[in-house]
Amino acid sequence: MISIAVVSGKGGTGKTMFAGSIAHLLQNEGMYADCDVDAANFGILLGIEIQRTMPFFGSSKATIDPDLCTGCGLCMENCRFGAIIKQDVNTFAVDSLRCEGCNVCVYVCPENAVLFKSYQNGILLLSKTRYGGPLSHAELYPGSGVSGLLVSDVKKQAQNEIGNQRITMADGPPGIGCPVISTLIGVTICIIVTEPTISGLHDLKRILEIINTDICKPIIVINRSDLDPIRTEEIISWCSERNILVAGCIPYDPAVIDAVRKEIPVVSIESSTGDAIRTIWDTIKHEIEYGG
Amino acid sequence: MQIVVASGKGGTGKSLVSLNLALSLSEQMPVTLVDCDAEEPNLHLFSLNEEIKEEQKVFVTIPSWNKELCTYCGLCGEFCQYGAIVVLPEQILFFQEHCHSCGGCSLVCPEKAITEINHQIGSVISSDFRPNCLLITGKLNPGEIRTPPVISASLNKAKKGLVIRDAPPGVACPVIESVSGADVCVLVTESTPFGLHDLKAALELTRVFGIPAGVVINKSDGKDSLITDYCHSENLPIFLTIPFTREIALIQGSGKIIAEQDATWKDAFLMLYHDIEDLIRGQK
Amino acid sequence: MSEKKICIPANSSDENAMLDGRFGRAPFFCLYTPGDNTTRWIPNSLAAEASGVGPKVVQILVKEGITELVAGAVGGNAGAALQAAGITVHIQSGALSVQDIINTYRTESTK
Repeated sequence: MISIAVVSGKGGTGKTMFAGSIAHLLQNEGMYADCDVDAANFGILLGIEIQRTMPFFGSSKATIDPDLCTGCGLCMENCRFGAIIKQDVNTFAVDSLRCEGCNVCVYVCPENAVLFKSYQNGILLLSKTRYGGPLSHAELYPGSGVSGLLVSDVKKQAQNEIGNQRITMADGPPGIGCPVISTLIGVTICIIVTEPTISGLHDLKRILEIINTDICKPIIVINRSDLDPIRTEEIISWCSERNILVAGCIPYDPAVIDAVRKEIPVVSIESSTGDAIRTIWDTIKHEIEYGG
Repeated sequence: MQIVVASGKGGTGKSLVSLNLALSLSEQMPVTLVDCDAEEPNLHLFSLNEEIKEEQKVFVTIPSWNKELCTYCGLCGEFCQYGAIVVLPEQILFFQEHCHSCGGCSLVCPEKAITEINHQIGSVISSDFRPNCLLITGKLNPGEIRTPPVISASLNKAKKGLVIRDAPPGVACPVIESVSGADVCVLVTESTPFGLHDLKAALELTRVFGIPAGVVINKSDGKDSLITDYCHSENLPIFLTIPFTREIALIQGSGKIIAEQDATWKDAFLMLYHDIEDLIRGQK
Repeated sequence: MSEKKICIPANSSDENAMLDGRFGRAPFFCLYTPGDNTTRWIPNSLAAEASGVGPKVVQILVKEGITELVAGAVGGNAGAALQAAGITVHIQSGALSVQDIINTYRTESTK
C-alpha cells in the first residue's frame, strides 16, 4: 500500500486542485482522506455520495449547573483561559469556545456544581467517490482545538475502509502544525505543492523541516509557475542543491477555476494545467516504482 | 477600532488585504498591523528593512517539582488532562509541549511540591513596517505547538488606535484567539465552491462572536455569482472585488504591496475602510 | 526482580482478539502474567481522548505493574515514558492474535 500526502506549507497553493486531478488519474486504484478538517474541500472535486456520518467527540468541556452554583467565583478566579463568565448575580457560566478542558474549575468548586462533559467538536464522514474508492473526511465545528485528533480519526477510518485499492492519498491541511504532522504519519511520498512567491518559498522551507526524509520522500510541484519564472527557477535551484526532486511545473490556466466551479478535477478537461499534471504524475509514478 | 481579516480557507488573500488596508490608511492615521499567524507569520516578508524595534519574550508557566517534597503519589499525573505528566515510582516525566499551563497539577499536589516557573514559548516582535505603520509579529519557538498564548501576547501590544489583525487560516483555536474582541471582520474569499464552503464556516465563527462582517472577493474573474448570491441571501456586504491579474499576482508574490505601486488601489482600500465604518455604525 | 507482566493492546476482548496496532488508542488491554498464567482484560478509557494519550496510557501500565509491552508502534512521548519506566517494548508488525502472543510467553516459561 503506497501512502501519499499532498501538503503545501502555505495555504492556497493548489493542493486540493492537484490531489483531485491525481484522484482522476488513479480512477478506481485510489482511496482518499481529506485531512484539511478546518476547510474540507476535497470531496467537492470527487463527486461524492455521503454514506455515513458519525459525531466526533474530541474534547471534554466544563459546564456549570446553575441550580448548584452559589456564585462564589472560585472557578473564575482559577480559570487561566478566561473561560468562566459571570452570568448574573449568583451564577457563573462556562464559555465553551474558550474552555480548554483542564478540569481546574471542577476541582475547586466547593459545591460540585461543575460537570465535565464530552463535547461534540464536529462530524466524521465516509463517502463514495465517483471513481469507486472511498473518501474519509470530516468537518470540524468552528472553535475547536482538536484538529490533530480529528485528522487522526479521518486516517484511521480510511485505514479501516481499504478495499482493493493500491494507493491512498491524503489532501493535507495548510501550515506545519499538529494537523499536518498527523496527516504525515505513515506517509512515504509527500507531494509539496508550492508557488513562486516569497511566501511560497519561505513556507516550503519550513514544511521540509518537519518531514523525516528517511521515511518520507518529499516531491515538489510548482504551481502557477509562469506567474514569476525567475522565482520558479530559484525554487528549482534551491531544491536541486539539496537533492530534492521537483516533479514539474504547472502554468497558470483559467481552466482550473472553470473546472473547480464545475466540481471536477482540471485534468478531466482540455487544459495546459491538465497536461502538465499528467506529465508530473508520470514522473511521480516512476519515482514510486523505481525511486531510491 | 479592531479589524480582523479572516477567511476559513488558506491562500485567499488575507495578507494582501491586511497589508493594503494598513498601508493605505497609514497615510491618514497611525495603524498597527498584527500578524496573528504565529505558526507561519509572513507579513514581515513585505518589510522594507530587517530592523526590529522591540522583541518581547512570551512566557507560559510550567510546573517544576521539588524532589525533596514529592512523594510520587501520582495525583498530578492523574489530574493532567493533556498527558503532560507521567509519574513513575521514582521519577516524574514532564512533556512540556502538551502542557496547557492550567495550574491544575500544582493545585492538586497534597505536598505542595509543585511550583510554577516561566518557560519561553515564543516572542512578539515589533517593527516599523512603514512610516506610521507598526507591525507586530507573533512567533512560536521551534518545537512549540501552542499558538494562542503568542497571539494573545501580540494583541496585547495592539490595544489602541486602528488595529488590523491578519488571522491564520481555518476556524480553530488560533483563529478564535485572533477574532475575539474584534469590532468587525473582513472575510476574504474566492469565487469557487472551495471559497464558498470555507466562507460559510468563517461566517459562522463571526456569528458566534456577534461580530459584524463583510466580504472581499479576491482573484475574481468576473464570474462571481456563486459568492454574490450567497452574500445577498445572508445580508453580507461585499466591500471590494479584486480581479485576478498576472500583474497583481507578481507584485504580491514578490513581496510588494499593490497600493504602493498603484494609487487607484490605495483609493479602493480607503473606500473599503469607509464601508467598514458604515457597517459598524449601522450595527449600533 | 519484579514479576513479569505483559500488556497486549487489543482490538476486542473476545477469544478472537487481535493485537491492535494503535497502542494508546486500542479499545482494550490484555494483561498477562506468565508466572501464574492469569489473564485480565481492561477497557481503555483513554482511547477517545484528545491528546497526550500515549503518556497517560503509560501511567496506567506503571500502576498495573507492567514490565513488558507488545505494540505495533509507539509514539515519541510514549516511547520516552516507557523507557524511563523500564518497560520493555516489543514491536510487532503484521496480524497477530492476542492468543498467539500469550502462547509465545507460555512456551518460553515452560522451557
